[in-house]
Amino acid sequence: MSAFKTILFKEIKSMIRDPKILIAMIITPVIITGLMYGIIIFSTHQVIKESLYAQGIVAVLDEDHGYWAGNFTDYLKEIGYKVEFVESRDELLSIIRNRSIACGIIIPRGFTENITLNKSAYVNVYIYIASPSMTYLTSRTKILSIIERYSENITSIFIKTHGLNPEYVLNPLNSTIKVIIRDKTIALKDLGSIIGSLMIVNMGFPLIALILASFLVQLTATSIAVEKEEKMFETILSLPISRLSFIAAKIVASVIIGLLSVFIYGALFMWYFTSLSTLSSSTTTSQTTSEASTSIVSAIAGIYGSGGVALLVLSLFGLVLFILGISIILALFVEDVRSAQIITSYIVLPLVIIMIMNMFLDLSSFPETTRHLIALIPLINTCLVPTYLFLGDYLSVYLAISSSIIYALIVMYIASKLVTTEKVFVLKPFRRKRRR
Amino acid sequence: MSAVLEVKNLVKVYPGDVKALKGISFEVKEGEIYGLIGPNGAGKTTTLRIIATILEPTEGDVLVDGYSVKRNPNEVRKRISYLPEEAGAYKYLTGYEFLDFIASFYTSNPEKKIEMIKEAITISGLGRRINDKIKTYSKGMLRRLLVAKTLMVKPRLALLDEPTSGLDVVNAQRVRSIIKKYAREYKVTILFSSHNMLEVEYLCDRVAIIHAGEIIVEGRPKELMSKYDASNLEEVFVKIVGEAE
Repeated sequence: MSAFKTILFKEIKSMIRDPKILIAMIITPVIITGLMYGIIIFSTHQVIKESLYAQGIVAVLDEDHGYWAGNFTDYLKEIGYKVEFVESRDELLSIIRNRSIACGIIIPRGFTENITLNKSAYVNVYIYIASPSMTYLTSRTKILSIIERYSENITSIFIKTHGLNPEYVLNPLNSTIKVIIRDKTIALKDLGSIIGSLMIVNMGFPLIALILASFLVQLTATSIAVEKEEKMFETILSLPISRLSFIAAKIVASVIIGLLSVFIYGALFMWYFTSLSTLSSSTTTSQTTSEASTSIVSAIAGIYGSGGVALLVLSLFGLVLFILGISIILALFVEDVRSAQIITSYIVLPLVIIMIMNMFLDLSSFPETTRHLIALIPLINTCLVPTYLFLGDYLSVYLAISSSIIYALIVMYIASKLVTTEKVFVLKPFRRKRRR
Repeated sequence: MSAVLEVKNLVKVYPGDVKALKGISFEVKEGEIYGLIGPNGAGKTTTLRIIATILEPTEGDVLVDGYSVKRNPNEVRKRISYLPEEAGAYKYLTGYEFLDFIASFYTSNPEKKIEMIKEAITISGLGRRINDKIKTYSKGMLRRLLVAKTLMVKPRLALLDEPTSGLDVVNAQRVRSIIKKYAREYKVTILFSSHNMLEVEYLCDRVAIIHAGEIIVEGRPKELMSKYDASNLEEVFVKIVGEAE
């Protein structure tokens, strides 16, 4: 077995057996992130369900006793509320403190008379807030949308009695939306679906790049620092193996474990987004037709396509190489795992800032030359590749990819020169100060 | 007997103009056990690290079996096996896996590799514990494993920096016997560094006392004791180093 394979197998074995790596790379994403997403999806589901179906008891103090007061309370019963009539305001204020009571409504005197005389009528709504949770607040405030719906119903009835079409009177001006992306025109009922799809591509890619880069930086830097911490560095340097094979094996092992982690995180993100989109499409009234959904997918596929995906992968490859080179250089000069982790934060933190910055950067408003120049800035350029592809600015795409790979090769060359000299052993710029 | 190790006018200056070695020279013949002794900071470890190709000499050269550490470091690495003073091992591997890992760099022949590992298990005396993870080993067990990994490959030159440090009397004695056996039976040349003068006296065919980057005296332990009218090597050491300071 070659030295490269021997070191690679040893690396993977050590990483898999190291509980710190297992916890950070696999157990945490699976349990914590999974649990977190699960809770978010569950609570979102609950909120949507709560907002659609009226449940619970509404305490009503009917001071009006007229036709429209009775009609209103019948409507509440019809949509699923249990109505409990109270005799006084004090009783209402006391009863709404009970968790099973959704809210209290006072129908004042003159309610029916006002509606009959074409005057605005009011009901007084009392809501007792006992918890700051989203589910609780939604369940307590949904009565307002129900009152609004009842109001619309009354409006429709009045419009009909005057011989007019309620649909026309309530919405005299409507719009149909057609979105044009490249040469494709897509008819939509709402813009949310296309914005969501583009956001996933535009934010998802830098996010994947960020996660992959931060994993690789940490894994590579740590795996080299481990040699020093476990006092194997001197032994390794004296063994009859190429130092480049040693570094290469470390990198490959880090890439394997890093990709595994990205795959786990990616699967969790996919599950999260799919669950949310399934939830919203099954519950919202302004649904996009399946025809429109297909058009969105085909439009996005048209923008990025197989060639675009290949360019995205290539840019990711350039970024990975660059990040690995930097992390090797830094890791060679640290003394232990803790220092390595501190050093890697110097790389990861700017990456997070870059990713956030990219979300707000409107490249289409920049002159072409500026876009080309931005494409030469390391790290930023990779995150912008999806935007360049969307804009059809292929020169910037090629500039971004080629510059990333060139920077990566330069950094790798410096790293390879360093590992073959005694500098890896002698230079200690990141030595931690010891307490006396 | 030919010299397996030739150290010629070795100078090492660290960054900050720290002169660790000021032109030392010595030779070690095949199957010989050569001891480098000296106080802390004398330059013993720097010398061993240069021979182990970890550090580069500022001036002078080292030849191992005729190969220069400057021009042919890869050839030198094939002929040496180095045990640093503060060596460790991969704690998530078992003792067996660690030996297998090291042996893989010295032979591609599976049978030879198994022979090496068997030998190492015997040297280490770890028995069934060889299949336990290294993180469960005591300091002494780890040191025995490291001595075993250094000697199992039967190198032309073994570089042992304080090989018995951290070992109890029984284990230290055991390691000394093994070192002697390897030098005598397998003609492994051994360059040895230690603070333990009794150990040096027992093991070494020749010694060099190094102080402030210079070899002050070199010779057979008995010759030195006679020359300096001392009853043991410790007295010789104190007399010489005391004079030098």
